[in-house]
Amino acid sequence: MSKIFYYELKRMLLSKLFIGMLIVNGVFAWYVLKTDIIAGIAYTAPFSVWSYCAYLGKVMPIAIIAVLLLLSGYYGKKQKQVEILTMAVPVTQTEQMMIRTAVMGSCFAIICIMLAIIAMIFYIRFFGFGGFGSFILPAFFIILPCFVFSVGIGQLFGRFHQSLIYFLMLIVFVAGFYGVQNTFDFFCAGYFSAYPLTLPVSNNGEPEFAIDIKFGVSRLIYLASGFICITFNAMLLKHKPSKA
Amino acid sequence: MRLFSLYRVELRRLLLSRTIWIIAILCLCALLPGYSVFTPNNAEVMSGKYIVNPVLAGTVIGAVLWAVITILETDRLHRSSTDVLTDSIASPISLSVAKTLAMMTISVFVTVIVSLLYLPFTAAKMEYLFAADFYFLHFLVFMLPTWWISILFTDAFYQITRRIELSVMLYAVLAYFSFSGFVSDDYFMCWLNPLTVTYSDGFPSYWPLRIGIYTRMIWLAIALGAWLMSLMCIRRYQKNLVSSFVRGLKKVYFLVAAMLCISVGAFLWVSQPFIDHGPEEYDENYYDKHNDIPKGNVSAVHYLLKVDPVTGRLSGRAEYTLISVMSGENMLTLNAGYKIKRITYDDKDIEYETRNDDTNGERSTIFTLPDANGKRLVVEYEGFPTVARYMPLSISDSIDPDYISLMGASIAPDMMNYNIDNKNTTFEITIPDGLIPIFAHEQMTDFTVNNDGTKTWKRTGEFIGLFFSAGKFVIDSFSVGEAGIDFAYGKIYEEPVQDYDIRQSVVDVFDYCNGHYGESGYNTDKRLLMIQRSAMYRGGFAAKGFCEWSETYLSPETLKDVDKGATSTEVFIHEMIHQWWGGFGLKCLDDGLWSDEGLTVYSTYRMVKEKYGQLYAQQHYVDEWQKAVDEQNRNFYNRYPEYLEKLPKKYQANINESNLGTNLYKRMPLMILKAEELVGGEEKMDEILSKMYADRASYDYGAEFTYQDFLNYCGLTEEDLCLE
Amino acid sequence: MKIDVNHITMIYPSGKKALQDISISVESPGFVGILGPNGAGKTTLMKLLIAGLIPTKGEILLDGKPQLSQEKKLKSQLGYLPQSFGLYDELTVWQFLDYMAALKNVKDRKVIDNVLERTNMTTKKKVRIRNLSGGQRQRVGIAQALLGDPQLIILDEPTVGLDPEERVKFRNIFSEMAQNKIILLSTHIVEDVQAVCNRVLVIHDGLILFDGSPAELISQSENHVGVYLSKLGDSVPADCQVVSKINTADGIRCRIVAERLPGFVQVAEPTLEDAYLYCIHKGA
Repeated sequence: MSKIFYYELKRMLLSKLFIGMLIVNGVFAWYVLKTDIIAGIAYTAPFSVWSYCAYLGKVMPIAIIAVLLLLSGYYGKKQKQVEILTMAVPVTQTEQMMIRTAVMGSCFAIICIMLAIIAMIFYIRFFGFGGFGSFILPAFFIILPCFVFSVGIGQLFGRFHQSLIYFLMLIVFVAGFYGVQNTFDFFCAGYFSAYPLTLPVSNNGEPEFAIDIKFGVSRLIYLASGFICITFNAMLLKHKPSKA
Repeated sequence: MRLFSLYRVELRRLLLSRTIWIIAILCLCALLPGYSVFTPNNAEVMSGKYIVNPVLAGTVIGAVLWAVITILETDRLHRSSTDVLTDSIASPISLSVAKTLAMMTISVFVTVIVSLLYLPFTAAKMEYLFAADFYFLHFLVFMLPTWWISILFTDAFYQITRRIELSVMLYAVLAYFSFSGFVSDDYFMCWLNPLTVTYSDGFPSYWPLRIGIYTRMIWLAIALGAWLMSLMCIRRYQKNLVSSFVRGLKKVYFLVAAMLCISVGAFLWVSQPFIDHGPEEYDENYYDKHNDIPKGNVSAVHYLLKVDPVTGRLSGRAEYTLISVMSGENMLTLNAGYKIKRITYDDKDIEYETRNDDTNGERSTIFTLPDANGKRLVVEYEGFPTVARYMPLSISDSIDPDYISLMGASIAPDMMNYNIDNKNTTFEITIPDGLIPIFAHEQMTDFTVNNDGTKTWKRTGEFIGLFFSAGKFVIDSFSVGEAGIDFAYGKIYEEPVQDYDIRQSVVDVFDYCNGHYGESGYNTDKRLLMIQRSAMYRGGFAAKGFCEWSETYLSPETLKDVDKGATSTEVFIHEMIHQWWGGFGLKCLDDGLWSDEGLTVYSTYRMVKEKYGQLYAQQHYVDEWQKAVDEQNRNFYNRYPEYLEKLPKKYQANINESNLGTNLYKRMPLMILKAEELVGGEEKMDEILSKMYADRASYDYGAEFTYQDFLNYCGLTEEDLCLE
Repeated sequence: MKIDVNHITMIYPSGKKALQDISISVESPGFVGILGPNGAGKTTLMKLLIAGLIPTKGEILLDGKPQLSQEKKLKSQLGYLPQSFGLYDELTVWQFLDYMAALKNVKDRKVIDNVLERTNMTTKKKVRIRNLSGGQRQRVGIAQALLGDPQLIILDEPTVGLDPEERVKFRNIFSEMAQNKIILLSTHIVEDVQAVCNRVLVIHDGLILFDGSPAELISQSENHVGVYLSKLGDSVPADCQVVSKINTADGIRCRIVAERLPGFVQVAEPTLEDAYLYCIHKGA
């Protein structure tokens, strides 16, 4: 299994598409930091957990678009032709799909690490700030549901047609830039810009970092829905061979 | 011939394609968001609302649609392996060229249909404001070229990458770039969404169209270059991108044409005449630099100007009568778009050198006067006035058939080494017949009619500064009590001015301020000139003897919309109240918090409260002030100023500018409101203000009324008015 | 290993009837050649055998048990080369085979070198697949099918794109392997079948027209193959199918197959190709 994972990952990481997406994500992240985050979100410091979360929320649409774009490769004509060979092997389609999901996860993790490093460079360079420890947990809270849900839906869409993934990317794009600010804010940028304004200010002039229960539940719902989609998709694959 | 026959075949094939028809229909609908959700142009005037925004929406959405269809159509051949067959019949390059040309031809058809389809609706909505040439020009200048740029770019991306998703990504990145904050005020970077300034119905400017044509030319050249370059990447002989390109390089004429196009684009970009090439930030010290140098004296100046409304250029001659001369190196600054043609010193040509040191929209020229005995210095210049780069969206200088606006160094050189006596000035300008000129906030009356459909207007005497505008004005002269008022407004607004009895609004302000603070300083000799300006000028401005404000206040739609009408009226009220606080009234020292604005905003609030009620005034004034002050207090950089210094200069400037605005227009009025409570209410406050106004003679230039003076009049201390 | 195909019918969702009530049984060792015109149902049969499709009717048994319940076992013993397939262009030949070996749970890396040698690709093992020729790609396809010593090898047009010398070489490799395995070879090249197969299936319009040894197929067409000399413009006799026409000094020498040869035709010794064409002709 590890060898299959190794080759699948290698193919992905060395592809021009991934390198291109990495560059696009990096440039966009720097742009978001330099234009939006530098001012501080909801009047808090640019290096507050609020601002950092809003930063992640703002860059997430492009990161997710990158993941979907990579995912779309698994539903293209070329892949289908290779699948003619790989369907005749003892490693089942479900297992292969799980390996690919792990590959997607690794690619996404690399993108996220890069986004975090860019933020670190930004914070150190402009503010001499280095306390990144408090960012880790909230970051997982934002990125995990985004990834699992998008990949789950993406796999489901891709099963029907590759172009549906492109359509999903369009939805992500629109939702990312004209999204809601409420509890169900998928990318969280709106939520983390609006919610701190409703909280009382503590001694340092900023609200303490906290999330409300509704929002927490919404994240769990996204996460669970994503897992359900992935599992459902795996179950559908088990029923191959198809009748056509 | 072969290419032409291929083009005809491709055109026919595309016209039979269902997708093309779907795209065409979507393009017809693409203008609709421009009426509601997609309004990049500040649509306060009818032309902005019913021409510019729909056309811009059609431009952007249509461009994306054409990009989609270009990629799909190009990919279809490849995906269905039809190219294997077609390539054996004709050269893939010829086929690609024919297909792109056919696509561009269809976009022309669609543009014509779209423009005709929306014509009746636009004409009906705009009524007497509709001008067909202005309408069609927008389709030709903005929509069609942008569609072409989009087609060329996407075709180039596809030819280079041969991948749908990569082409889409590249296009999306390029499109995002055009919309991003990086280039939000850069006319030349916004290739997809042409940037436009606020339009005007009463004083139409062709500046947005002029720069529109120019930027479209730049991007068409670049896109064409990229497209020609991509033709060299067309895959043949089963070679990959690099090998195909290396092979393509053998077609030298393609490479030359591509480089030529890109060079033309780059050249146009670099040598653009619209925006100066100076720094992005305003240089505050620019005008102070020469204050300390010893200066010669000029006893009289004669300005002789001529404008060409078709090209938008001005040619001028400034003649200075010298009393004392600074021999040696002298400097003058002029609008960065002007070129000096000649400088003579007692009729002898002298050498000069114009530097490339654009700052605040101006550029300096150095000339050396050989001796100190001369009596006459003449500078001749000509050019297209540029806009300052630090404020590219504010078009202060523009020369158009129906409207001319020029000021400062866009009218005449700023002579750095001379004190100029303004008492003996002759100002002569030749402008199209039918335009009414206003110079230095005063009317011009003396003119001669020329044979070429122009008039030369002349004014001699004293003037307060170089401000000139000319438009189709109507001037209504009347009196309020003792004060004489000249009310100049656009001819097209004659109807609403009469229907809505605007004169009465003027009377109301005079009545309110005369009653609460004391009589204005105007009478039949010292008249107040009120000028309606193009909507390009946001808000208003007031100075001694004159006030001006944007035309939007008199726009028929604004007058019909009660809420909006009120907001616009308030600008009008605000600028008139400045005649009591500032101008002819009490001059306040601007210390960044205390200034004329605090008192004027407070007085406007009081008058609005009287006119529209307590609730309205609370919501639109007090609550807004409080909100702005709260936001300012909570802002991280205001809480921790040490971090502000760590930011790049541009951000520091933004935050400081925002703080300054809040201090002058929000915090100070709120403090005056607090003072009102502390001194015992509105009546008491009015008494104090009226006393301050009565004592205005004691506070003149150099000894302006300070915040401490205000506290003294109120009997309060700084701590009393502290908002925290 | 034993495969039993029992009364299989395959109808695609589009309504196309690909196979009608087909029954065959194959046991190792065995080298079965499947012949049939385009669209006869050969590829559908192969897809059914590798559990890539579920039959509309009937069942397939692997060693007496339903194939779908034995899918894992089937695939662990399967070497499959489809008619058209894709490879990961960005990997080298060796990397791709290593990847396929991992998918097939083949751990021994020597196996890869072995199949590379057998397919004559050792010198190309470090070359990226995108740089291979059509024939070389086909060899990579064959190599991956041979990975892990599969007990059931299904080859759909394996020698397409190979030069005659390579074709002979592969034919011999397949023949050697058939000693203890089942090999199903679908092809248009009758010569290949004649050279290596001990059993032939002729499929036409979803029906099996013949199932037996090549010699039996040939003997079936005895007295149904003939030659005659014709002149330019002469029409072909009714109910006859022309196998070849050769221009000679005396006229055009025509070779035909027919259920009843016309009287003027001289009876000839049938080849497997004649026999195949006669079988199809009879079936039609």
